[in-house]
Amino acid sequence: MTTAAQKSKSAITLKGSAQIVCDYLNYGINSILFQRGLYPPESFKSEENYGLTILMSTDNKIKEFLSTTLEQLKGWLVDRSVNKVALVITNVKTLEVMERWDFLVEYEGDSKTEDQTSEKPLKQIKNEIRDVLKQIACSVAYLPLLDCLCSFDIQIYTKKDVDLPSEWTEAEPANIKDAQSVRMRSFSTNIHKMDTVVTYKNYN
Amino acid sequence: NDRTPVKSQNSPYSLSPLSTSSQRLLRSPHKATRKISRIPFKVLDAPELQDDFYLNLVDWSVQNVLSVGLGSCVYLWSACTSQVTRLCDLSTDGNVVTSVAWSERGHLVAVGTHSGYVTVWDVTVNKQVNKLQGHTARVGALAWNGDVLSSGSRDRLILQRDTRTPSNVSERRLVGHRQEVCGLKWSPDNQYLASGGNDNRLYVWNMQSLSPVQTYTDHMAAVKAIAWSPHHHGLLASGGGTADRCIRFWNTLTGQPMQCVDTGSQVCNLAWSKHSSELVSTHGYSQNQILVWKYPSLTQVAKLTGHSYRVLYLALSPDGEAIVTGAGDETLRFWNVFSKARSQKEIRSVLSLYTGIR
Repeated sequence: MTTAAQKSKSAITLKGSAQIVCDYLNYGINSILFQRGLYPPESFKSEENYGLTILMSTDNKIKEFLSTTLEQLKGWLVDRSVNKVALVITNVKTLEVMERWDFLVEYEGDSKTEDQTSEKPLKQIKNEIRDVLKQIACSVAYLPLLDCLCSFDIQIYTKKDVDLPSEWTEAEPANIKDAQSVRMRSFSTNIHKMDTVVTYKNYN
Repeated sequence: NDRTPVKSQNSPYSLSPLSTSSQRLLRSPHKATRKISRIPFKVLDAPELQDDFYLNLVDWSVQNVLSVGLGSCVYLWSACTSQVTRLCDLSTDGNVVTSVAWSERGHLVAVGTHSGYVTVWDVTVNKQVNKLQGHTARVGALAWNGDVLSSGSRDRLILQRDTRTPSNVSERRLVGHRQEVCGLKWSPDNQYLASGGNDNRLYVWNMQSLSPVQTYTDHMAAVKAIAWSPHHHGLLASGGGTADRCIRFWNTLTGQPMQCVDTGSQVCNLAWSKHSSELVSTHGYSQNQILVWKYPSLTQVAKLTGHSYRVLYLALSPDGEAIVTGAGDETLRFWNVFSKARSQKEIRSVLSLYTGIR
C-alpha cells in the first residue's frame, strides 16, 4: 500500500542515481575510445543500450581499469565529493594533451537529507543519456583526426578534503593550448546532473 | 666446528627437548581477539520494512519481545516462542508507523506515526492505553524514562509526556533543533536526554531546563546514532550521516570532545556492549556493514555484511549478547556479537598442566 507517507518503490535513490551516472560514463568512454581510434576497432564489440548500438571494448585491461575507476567514482558521487571526471587523450610520443572530455557533475535537489530520492522516470533519464551518446558519436564530424599514437587516462576532480585511495595519485590538470570546446547536451536524474564537454586543439 | 642453528624438523640432531608441534605452538602468537560469527544466527522476513534513514522501526524489550514497524502495522515477535502477533494496523487512516519503543519494564510499547500522534499499547492485554496528540509531523524517535515518553519529530520538537492517564505531569516542550529530530536516548542514570537532528546537532537536556544544557556541533551530517556508555558515567557516543561518517565520543561531565573515528560510511546506529568495553555501529552505503569496535582503542573487532540495503535499524537483546539489525532489504538479521560465553570457554592447550594425563 503506497500512501503519500511512503516513497514509491520506483523512486531512484542516491545510490541508484550514482549507478546511472557511472553506467553512462562506461558507455560514453567506450564510445569515445572507439570513435577516436585509440584502440583497434576489432577489439570492440557492439552492445545494445539506451535504444542504441554502442561499441564496447573487449580488452580486459581496459574493462578492469574502467570498472575499478567507476566503482570508486560511484562512492564519491554518493558522498557528493566529485566535481568533474576528465578523460584525457595524450600523444604517447610528445606527451602533449590532444583532447580532453570533461564530464561535469552538479548536485541537485534537497542535499540536506540522508534519503535523497528522485521521482523522475528512468525512461526519461535514459532518453536524455541516449541524446548525449548520439552527440558523442556525431562528434567525429568535427573533431580533428588523431593521427598519432595516443593513450588515455581518467582524472577525477574532487573537493579538497577527500582522502586519496591507495591506487590513485594526484595529477596536474590537463590543459590544451589553443583549445576549442564543444558542449554537448546534459542529462539529469534530479539528484545528479552531468554535462559533457569536449576540448581539443584548434588547428585553424 | 660450526654450530649452525638446526631447523625445527624432526631431526635426530635437534638440540631442543621439545617436539616440533610444541615448538610451533610456543611460537604462534597468542590470539587476543575472540571469534564473532560472520553469519547471522537467524534471519526473519520483514515485508514493508521501510528504507528511511529517519525512522526507528525496531526495538527489543527486556521481556525478550521484538517490536517491528512494517508499513502501517506493528508486529511483535517473541524471541522465546517465535510467535508473531500483529499489535496494530494504522492503514484505516492512511497512516504509517515511523517509530517503536518499549518501556523499560517491557509491558508497554509506544508507536510513533507519520501524521504525528503517538499511541501507547499495553501488550499484556493487547490494548491501546493512550493516544498522544501534539506533534504536527512524523515522529521518528522515541525514548522512555519511567512513565514519561519523549518523542522527537520532523516538526523539530521534542515532547515529553507522562503516559499515565490521568497524568499528573504536564507536557514539556524541548525546543532547540532546527530540523527533524531523529535520535533520542536517555543516559543510564535517567538524568540526561541526548537528542540528534537533521540539523547535524547533538543536544543534551536535563530535567530542569527546557533548553539544552550542552550543544555539540562537530558532526557534518544528520545525527541519528546516539548511545550512552553503560560503563563510563557521562560518556556519550554519536554517529554522523553520509557527509560526516564519523563516530564521535563526548565527555558530557566536562562537555569536552574525546575520540573521533572516520568509519568511511554513513553511520545509522550505535550501541554499547553491556559486558565489555566495545560498541557496535551500523552503516549505509557502500558496504551496508555492521562494525564492532573496541573502546577506547577504536580497533575494529569485526565487520559483518549481508544486508543489501542500508542497516537503518538496530536493537540489543535483553541479555546483551546479540543484536538484531533491520534494513530496506526487508530482512531482520540476528548476530551474536557480544557473546559472554567466550571468556568462560577455556581453550584446551596441550601446554596446560592439569587437563590431561601426561
